This record gives sequence, C-alpha cells and structure tokens, in this order.
Amino acid sequence: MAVRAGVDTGGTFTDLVAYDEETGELRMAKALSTAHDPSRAVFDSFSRAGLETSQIDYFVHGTTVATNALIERRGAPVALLITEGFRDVLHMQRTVRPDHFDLHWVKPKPLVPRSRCVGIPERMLKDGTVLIPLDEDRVRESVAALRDAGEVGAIAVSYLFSFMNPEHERRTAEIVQEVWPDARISLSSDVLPRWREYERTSTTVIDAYLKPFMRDYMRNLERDCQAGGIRQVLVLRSNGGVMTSERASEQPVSLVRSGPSGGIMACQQLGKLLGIGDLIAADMGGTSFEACLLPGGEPTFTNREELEWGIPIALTMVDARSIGAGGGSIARVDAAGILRVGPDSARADPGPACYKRGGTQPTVTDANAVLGRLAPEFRLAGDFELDFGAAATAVDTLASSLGLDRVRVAQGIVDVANNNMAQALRLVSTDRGYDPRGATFVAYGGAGPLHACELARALQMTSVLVPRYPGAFSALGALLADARFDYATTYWMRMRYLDVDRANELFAALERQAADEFLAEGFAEAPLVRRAVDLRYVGQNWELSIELPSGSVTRDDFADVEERFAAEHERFYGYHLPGEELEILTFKLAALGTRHELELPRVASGSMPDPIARRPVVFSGDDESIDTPLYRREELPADALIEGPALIGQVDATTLLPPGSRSRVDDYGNLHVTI
Amino acid sequence: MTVYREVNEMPKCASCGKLLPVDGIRAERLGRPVQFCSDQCVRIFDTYKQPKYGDAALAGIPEIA
Amino acid sequence: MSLAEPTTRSGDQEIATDPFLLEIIRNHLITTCREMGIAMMRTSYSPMFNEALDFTCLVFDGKGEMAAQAPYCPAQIGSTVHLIPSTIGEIGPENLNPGDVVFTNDPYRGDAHLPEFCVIKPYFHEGEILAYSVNIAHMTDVGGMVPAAFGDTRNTWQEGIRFPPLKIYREDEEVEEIFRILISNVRTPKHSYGDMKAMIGSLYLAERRVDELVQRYGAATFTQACEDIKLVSERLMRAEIASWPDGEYEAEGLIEDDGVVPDRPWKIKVTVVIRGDELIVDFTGSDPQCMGAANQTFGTTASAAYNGALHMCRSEIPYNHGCYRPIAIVTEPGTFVNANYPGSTVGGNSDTHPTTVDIILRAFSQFSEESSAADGGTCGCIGFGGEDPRTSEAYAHLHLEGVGWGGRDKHDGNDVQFVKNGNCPNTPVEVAETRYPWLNMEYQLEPYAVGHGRHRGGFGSRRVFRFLTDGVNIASHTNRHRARAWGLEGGQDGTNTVIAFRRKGETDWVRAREAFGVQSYGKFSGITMNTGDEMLFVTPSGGGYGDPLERDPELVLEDCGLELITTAVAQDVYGVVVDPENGALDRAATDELRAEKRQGQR
Repeated sequence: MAVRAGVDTGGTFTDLVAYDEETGELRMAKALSTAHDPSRAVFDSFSRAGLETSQIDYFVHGTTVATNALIERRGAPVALLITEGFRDVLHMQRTVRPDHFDLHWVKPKPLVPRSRCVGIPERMLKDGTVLIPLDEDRVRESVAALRDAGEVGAIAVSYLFSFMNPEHERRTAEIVQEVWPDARISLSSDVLPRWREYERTSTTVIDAYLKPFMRDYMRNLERDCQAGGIRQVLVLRSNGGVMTSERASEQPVSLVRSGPSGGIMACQQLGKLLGIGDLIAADMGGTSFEACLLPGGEPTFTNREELEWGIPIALTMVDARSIGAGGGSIARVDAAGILRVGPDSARADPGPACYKRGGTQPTVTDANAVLGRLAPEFRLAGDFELDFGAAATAVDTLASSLGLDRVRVAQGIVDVANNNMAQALRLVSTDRGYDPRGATFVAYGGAGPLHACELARALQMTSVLVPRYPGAFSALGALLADARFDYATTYWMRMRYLDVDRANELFAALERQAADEFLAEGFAEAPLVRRAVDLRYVGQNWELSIELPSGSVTRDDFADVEERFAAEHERFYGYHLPGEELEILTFKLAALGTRHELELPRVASGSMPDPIARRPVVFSGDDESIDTPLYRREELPADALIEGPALIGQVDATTLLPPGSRSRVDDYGNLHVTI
Repeated sequence: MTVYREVNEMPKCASCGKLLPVDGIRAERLGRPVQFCSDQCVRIFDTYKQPKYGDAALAGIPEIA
Repeated sequence: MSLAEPTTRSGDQEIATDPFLLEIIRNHLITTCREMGIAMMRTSYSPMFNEALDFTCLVFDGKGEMAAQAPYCPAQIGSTVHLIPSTIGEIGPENLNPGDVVFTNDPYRGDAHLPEFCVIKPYFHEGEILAYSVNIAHMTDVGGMVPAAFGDTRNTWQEGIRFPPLKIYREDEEVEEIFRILISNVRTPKHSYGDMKAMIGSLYLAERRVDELVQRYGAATFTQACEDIKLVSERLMRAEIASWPDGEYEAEGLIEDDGVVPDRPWKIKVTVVIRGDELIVDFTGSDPQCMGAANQTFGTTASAAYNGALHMCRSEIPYNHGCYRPIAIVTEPGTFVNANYPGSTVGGNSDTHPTTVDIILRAFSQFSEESSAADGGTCGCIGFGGEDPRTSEAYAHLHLEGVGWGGRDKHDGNDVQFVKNGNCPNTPVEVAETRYPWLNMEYQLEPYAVGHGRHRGGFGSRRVFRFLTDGVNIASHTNRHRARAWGLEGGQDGTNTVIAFRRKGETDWVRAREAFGVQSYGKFSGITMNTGDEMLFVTPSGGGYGDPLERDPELVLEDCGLELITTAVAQDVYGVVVDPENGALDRAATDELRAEKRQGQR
C-alpha cells in the first residue's frame, strides 16, 4: 500500500493530508504542534490519521521550524569571513531606522557580533577581475583560530562582487574544509549571487545560522522516518517547490517561508484543476493572515523579505503578505478613542475568551461569536465548546469605553480586522496594478471561510472559492507541490550591444546546472524550465522580470521582450519611456519537476439536506440579526445550491454566506460562492 | 507675461517670518502696516512676540505690505 | 486668502466620520503614499532616489492640508506644510485643470532648499479639487557651480536653476519647454528627465488610489474624513504638549563655519515655549544670515521645529497636518534660520537641520528624560562630478553617510545611522562601483572614537575612496570637523568628522584646508582627484549621556570584546578594570578605581 502525505507544521496545529494511491482516498488529521520537538507532532498526526509509518511512501513537509528558529534566535553562533575593510557590513545595515521620530529605537543586533566578523585580504572588481588576490594564509589562520576557540558552529563567507566571480569564496571553502572539516559553511555566491553586499551577506549569514540546527532537525526526522519505513522525506521551500531533506539541510535559508507556500501551491493546483484563471489566496489562521496573488493561476514571488526590521532575507519566496490578524487577534481602544485590532494575538494560550482557557480580552473570534457567526452545533477542531457568555463579557469591556452597544462593537472589531486584512490583500493586488474584480478569492485556514465574503467585497470581488478542507489546505499544498529550483546569473548587457549567442550560453549553463541537480534529486526526466531576464531602462536601478520562450532565443525574442517591458512599466507605474534603451541585469531560470499526479476525490451528487438547525446571525452592515440556516459541510452533495444567508460548518472551519449570495458545491466538494 | 515679482518684493509674515507670495491678513502693528499668514500668527504675535521683544518684534520683517 | 487658514480654538470640533471608516480611509491614504514611494524607487534613475530614497510622497486634501504621508524623509515632510498651500495659492486653484501638474523648487517660497523638487497634482471630482498628490524629492544635480549642489556656494545662482511655481504638465501633456529648460541646465539630462517622470508617475498612481476611495464612499464622506483624520492627530498632539510643563526653555548651539568665512561659527538660538496645549518654537536671537550655504530657509526651520517636537512624543500619532497645528514658529527674516533671497541655503536643509533639532531637544531635556545627546549632525554630503571615460557620459553623484547618534537615558546611541532630518539608506558599494569610476577600499565602523557616557554615543563610519579616472570633481558640505556632538548629563562630547586626501603614491592623509587652500575643512568645492588618488571620510560619533563612571561594567567589557573600545579607555574613562590574563571583569579593582575617580571629580 502506497500512501503519500503532506504535513504542515504551524504554530498551533500540525495538519496532515494523506493520499492513498491505490484507493484514491484522502485522509485528514490534526495534532497539536510540539514546539520543543516538532517531528513528534508529525508522527502524532500519522497515528491520528490511522496510518502506520510503514504505509507511507514519502511525505512532504511544510514547516515553520526554520522560521521559528530564526524568530526565537535559536541558531548556531556564526563567524563571517568578509572582504577586509568591510567587516561591519552587518552591523551598519543600511543606516536607516523604522520610525523617523523615535529617539528610543535600538538597532537590532546583528546575528554575528563584530568580534566574529573577520576581514580577509582579497578584492574582486565589478567585472569579476581580481584587484587583490586571496590571502590564503590569512584564511587558514583565521579558520584555525575559530576552530580552536570552539565558539562557532558555522562559517559564512561573503566577499565583494563574488556574484561576478566566486573564485575567492570557493577557494576559501576548500581551505575551511582542510583546516576544519567539521565546519558548516555557507558561501554568498551559492546562497544569493546578486549585487548589494548587505542583503547578500545578511542572507548568507542566516543560512549559516540555521545550518547546524536544521541539519539536526532533518537528520532526526529522517532517522525516525527510516526507522518507521518511510522511504523519503521531502521539504517544501519558500518558493513553493520541494527538495530532499538532505538538500534542505544544505540550504536552510530557503525554508523560511516554507509554511505559507503550501497553501499557495494548493491554490495553484486547485485553480488548474477547476480551470480558474486569476486567484487571490487568503489564509487566515489564529494569529496571522497571509495574502498572495496568483495572476493567471500562477503564484507571484518576491526577494524582499525581512527577518526583523532591517535584517533582509533576499531569496526568491512566494510573495505572501503577512499581517498579525487572525481569529485570536485582540481588540483594544487606543488613547485617541480609536478601535484597533491586532497585531497581538491570544494565540492558543490563553486563546479567545470564548475558548474558556483563561483569555479575557476580546478577540475577533469572540466578536464572531457575539454576532452569532459561530454556532454551538459546530465543534471546533480540538473539541472546544464555545462559551458565548464569555465572548459577550469580553466584547462588553470595549462597549463602555466606546459608548456603543455590544453588537455594534463586535461589528466594529470584525470590520477593523477585515480592513487590516483587506489592506494586505490590496498590497498584493490593486497596489501592483492588478484589478482584483475578475479574480476568484480562495479562502482557507481555520478562520478564512468565516471572513471570506466580506474580504472579497472589500476588493469588489464577486467570486469566492472555499476549498473542501480549508483548515488542512496548506498540508494538501505540500502534498501537491512540484520540485522547483531557481537559478540566476548576474550579467550586464545593454540592448544596444545585445549578444544573443552569449545569452544562449548563459541560459544553457543554467539549464545544465538545473539538469544536474534534478538528477541528484532523483528525477529521471529533465525539468521543465522557464526563462526570464530582469531588465530596466539604462540608468534605472530596479528591474522588471520578463519571460522568454524556451529553446534557443533569437533577436526577435528580445525585441518582443522590449515591447513587453514597456507594457509592464506602463501597467505598474503608469508610464513608459519610448526610445529609451534597456539593459539586462540578470538571466534567470526556474526549473520545475512534476512529482506524481494526484487525483482529488469527488463527492457524490444527491439531494440537498435540510438544515441541521437555525440561529440568529448578524451580518455586516446590519444592526439586527437574521434567522439563518445551518448546514454540515460533509452532508452537502455535488451540485448542491445554497442561497445566503447560511452558515456551513465542518470540523476545521465555518463558512459564512451572506444574504443575497449564491453557492454551489462542485464535484470535488469545493464551495463556489457568488456575492 | 504678467509682471513677475521676485521674492524680495513680497511681504513676510510679521510673526513667523514666512514669505507670503499671496497676500495674508493685513494689520497694523508698532505703527506699521504688516501682514500675517494666519490667525494663529496674529495671536502669537500679540500674546508672545510683541510682549516679549517690544519694538524689536518686527526685526527683519520687510516693509512691504 | 490663505489656504491653510487655521480655525480658532482648533481641535474642539466633533469627529463626524464613523471611527471604523476613518481608520479605513486613513490607512488607504497612507498605503497610497507608500506605494508612490515604491514606484519611485523602482523607476527612478539616480541612486539618491532608488537607493537613498531621498524623497517623500504625500496626499494633501482639497484645502491644501496634509492628509497622509509615508515615512521617507522628515526634512521634506515638514517643509511641505508651508510649501504646498503657498504654491497652490500662488498658482490659484481656480487656474488648475484636470491633468495639470505644478512644479517648483523655490527655497524662498517654503521649499527646504533648491534641490528639493516638488510636483503637485490636483485630483478633480465632478469639477472640484478634492485632493492633491505630492512628491518632493532631492534631485541629485540642479546645475550651478557644484556638481550635486553641495559646497561653498554664496547665492542662489551658484546653487543652480530655480523654478517659481509653474505648470510642468497641462491637461496630461508635458509642457515640453519646461523640461527642455530643466534638462539643458543640469549635468545629467537623461537621469533628470527619468527622475522627473518617475516623480510625476507616482502622482498619477496616487490619483487612481484616491479616486478609488471617492468612488466607494462619495466625495462628501471623503472630504469629511480628511478633516477628521487631521483632527484626531491634532488632538493627540495637543494632549502630548499639554503633558509637558508650561514654561520657556532656552538652548543654543553652533554650526562651525559656512565654508566662506574661515573660523567663524554661527549661532542658532531656540526658545521652546509651552503654553498649555500649544507649542511655540522661537528662533529669535539666532545669528544673521551667513555668506555660505549653511543658512536654513524658513521651510527648513519650520521642518526642524516639527521634527524636534515629534521626537518628544510618546503616543502613536498619525502624521498629517493636524500634528503641526498646535506648533507655532517664530523667526526673524534675514537670519541664519530664515535666509533672505538671494542667500545660499542648500546646506541648511541637509547639515544645519539636524543640529537645529538637537538644539531643540536640548531645550526639551531641561524637563524631560526622553531627550538624547547630540548626533553626528551631518548628512555627509559629498558631491562627485565628471565624465566617465568608459562611457563618455557625464555623471553627478551625491554621497550620503550615516553618523553616530547620541546616547540616551536608557540606551547607547545607534551606530552609523542617518541623521534626524532624513532617513536615507546608504548606497551599496557594489551599486556605486558599478555606476561610478571609483572604488571603496574600506567601509566599516570607526572604532575607538566615540562620546563616552553612562550610555555612550554611537560610532561613525570610515570609508576610503580610490579614484579610477582623472578629473573627478569633488565638493562637500559637511559638519562636525571642529564642533562636536555634545554630551548630556555628564556624558562626553562625540568625535569629529574627517575628510582628507592622499595623492597617488603618498602615505599621509591631508585635510582640505591644508591640501587645497580652501576656507573650510568640510565645506568646499573644486577639488580634483585623479587616477589612483584617495579620499578618506570618517563620520562623527554621537555624544554620550550620563557619567561614564556610571556605565554598567558589563557593557564596558562587551565593548572591549567587540573591539569598539580599548581596555586602556575602559580603565581611564570608565574606571573599569579588565583582567589582562583572561579578559574578565575585575569587580573589586573596578569598584576601587571608580571610587577613586569620583573622589578626584569632587
């Protein structure tokens, strides 16, 4: 029996989706996350799903382990070898502060203290030629001293212009291997071969910082898996692709967005399956909200992310906007009498007031309870019984200071939270020149389906999709994800001097690299590749990425690139500069390898069930409640039609359908809402 | 072209000292015609600047009004 | 009529907008300003914009009052409070049409200084102006005698080309003549054109976003919300001022020279007056206007006053016109803080402003521990100009640099951080070297030099440039070569800026006055560097806060371990004894030494 599984480890829950390749059966399970030993929750989730590990062929792991290790600063002490004269790159950062007028702000301490940033005599120039040869003796002495001091667990190497010529960094790695074979090492020319020394060094140091920790984590996980008879462990990366756990330990910085990328990959697959084009993904859990745009069904990516203010991780990642807004977000009234919600959260402990686990501050979940949008008939995952009285008491603490009644305050809490989330949604959509109105809003995460219709309305969207298992959607995404590796070469080429042969050589080299790595990852076939160039008007400093066709590229292809650049510039920034020359900065390749196809189970058609109950629910903009029917999600047959108002409950989420909305269940049990 | 006035031909607020390319509030203080940019500046002049500095309160304020 | 006419007994009006909607509209406008900035960064040409982000994006309401801003550059933000209403007033709102863009850079009309290019676009809805989108940005080159404008200029004509308020777009069409005049008067025509287009592009983006709001909520609601957004901020600001003790607090400080008259420092005097919920920042008694470029315009001075006051606020105040209403400015025209035409003012906005803020904070420190010792007080403006023989194209680059900040009651000053009038990221070495014909041989902290204290100042940086071509024209307008960032509450003063030169093959660094016979160590122009020559630039450290003998010995030890101070300094200045054997703290010896030193102080 061959089962493959997707496991998503979050802050509160570890979710599992398992797919039986023989029967086509899909199983779901949830286990409480075990922060001290995350792999235990993974095995808990297997047993809760009734799975023996020996049944599992392989599983794909989406994890916040790397993210949390960073946030909690549990990485290894790192030493940085850097071009002499530049030892304080990390310490100085980019010389800016987050708030203009805050005299009290303290610059975050760099991950590597000054005393462990070691200058090495060497210097490359901007074209990759050597100005000062590498002082190998100095490397040897420095590494020996670090080894003998015994304080350091990993070494990062970042030399100026190593992205143009990595020779000095590679030679340094060889010397480190000789002098200190056990040292873990990260080279900036491997981790992030792009210009801007601060961002590159920061990313490389974070990689080194995570390396010993992630190696141990992955080793333990692999060992446990092997002992249990699981053949292979794959890990979901920040870019939405998967890689082997072995490689994950080699480049752990590529896991910092592993968590959210699962849901986004699931959106992509679901969109393909259902033939839906533009999607906006919205993942609302207990603490955070993540938004991502998938124009044409394809996720968008970024390389501007920060560990904390001013400490960048400049790798390609799914471009999800995270804000502190979730079911557990706490509402309060500020000094000016303005209602604010989040970013602080009651999390799982003590949780919202209505969880009866010691929380007293009003949260978004409490507001939803007051408005009747949660129902006692639907048990939450984890088998809590909601205390509606406690929710009302908590909301009332704000009612007196705002001088408004309970329902109005609860409405306000939900409105403000929705507005915050809508801002994040706008940042990934309208603010980039995309009109979201024709797109489909995919709502998932435990709290997503409850807020989906109102959030969609805020973006003037009319089409909402609630997947069959919204709470376990990210785990499903991990299961569905393809292998994906990103490669890039910085090469400066002005269009006036366009060298098509050179361009083809550069792409060919990247393709060879991709093919080699895919072979090493266990793929029999060559990966599917997508090519792109980053380019800009000569003199600009930031680029737009434009795709190129596969195969040998021609002069005509580049003429086409120029036209599309102008169109993109117009779309993003409202103008373009006719006649201005373009320059190419980077040649990029995304290599994709498909794992096995997975057939999502279908639901049978049948007659529409009667509501299990009715209850009064207050909808957005109303003062009075409306009598609303309740349905169980698992009872809904394919082609079922539901007119709002309605509440649809299932173990992992509740879906709120406002009056006037119409919903249809598709063959896979997904709910399509038109508002 | 309509007559171009250079900035040294324009009045300045008698309280804050700001240039007034467009006429401000006309008034008379210390026996001189003056202009103010706002009600706030009228009040500050009368309750702070003149009581504190006396005749020197108009130091540097050009005689264009 | 004044557009920015304040209401008497301001702040008492009712907030009419639903608080939830208010939050939504306010955030929408702030996001709009942020997005304008991102577009600017991504499309502009000069590193001043796309790396140093020396620009500010704002939305003003139909009255010409600031409704929202994104946090880019504080100096620019403050000056727009005066510049925008004055510019709109001079053109006359009745003369504006949809698709018009107004442009000015006139320092005497409220702008902070000549390189601050300001574009304004009215947003029309059913024939009425409901808002203005604004972008004010530091244009690298504006013509004049010095590449990138900063040096020893003596009047506005030497500084560069000046535009009184005029239309640069009419009904969505470029006024080509204006662009032609502009780009034929600057060293980098292509960059300047691209940068102007990026600025104006951001105004169109903002207009679309404002239109979304008006379409969704209606013109009346939008206009009322703008009023209420300002009102909320005004109330928060008034509450903040009311919490400070009434009184008059004086402080003064010096700018070391003006680049023209050698060895003549210039005094800025500030009286901070707190009257209930109103704040007056009075500059009466400051020195007369100087000969060089260190003068502040009225716009810069007002901006510095706002900047100082906002630094003292502890509550989260959304920054808009409401914050500024309770603050009155008093200046005398013709002085160092309100220069008259045709005085030079380009350096006042960059290098005098931070010291002015520190003087204001010094006045506040008389009743508040929220204050801090002075920071390095210079933006590190060094201009480079010439022709790149590799491309035969002219270049002009303005280099900026972080400094050490002042120690505070609870923390050390931050190291290498941009001064208080701006918030500009440094330009990466790899970006600068790719664009310009010089190398950075060194760019790191300057250790050992700092204002010591219970909480010490932050450290400055040290950079060495090596030139790869002949004929690189260098100019500078920098401070703290002689004056130092002052300490507070017994903390020591910070250390100096150093700019020095070394011809190819020589070993000693020589400063500008000695090497080139200019009048000032930090404010000069016309220095030529050739292939292989080098320039050293060390930025100043911040002043210390409190007696160094009261510094936590563990922090002193940590500084030693980080190679920031020597054990000799630990002993001499801090009275902290470090065991030379194992580098550990010798507590007993430390207590003894400190007692001895305290005895000596009496």
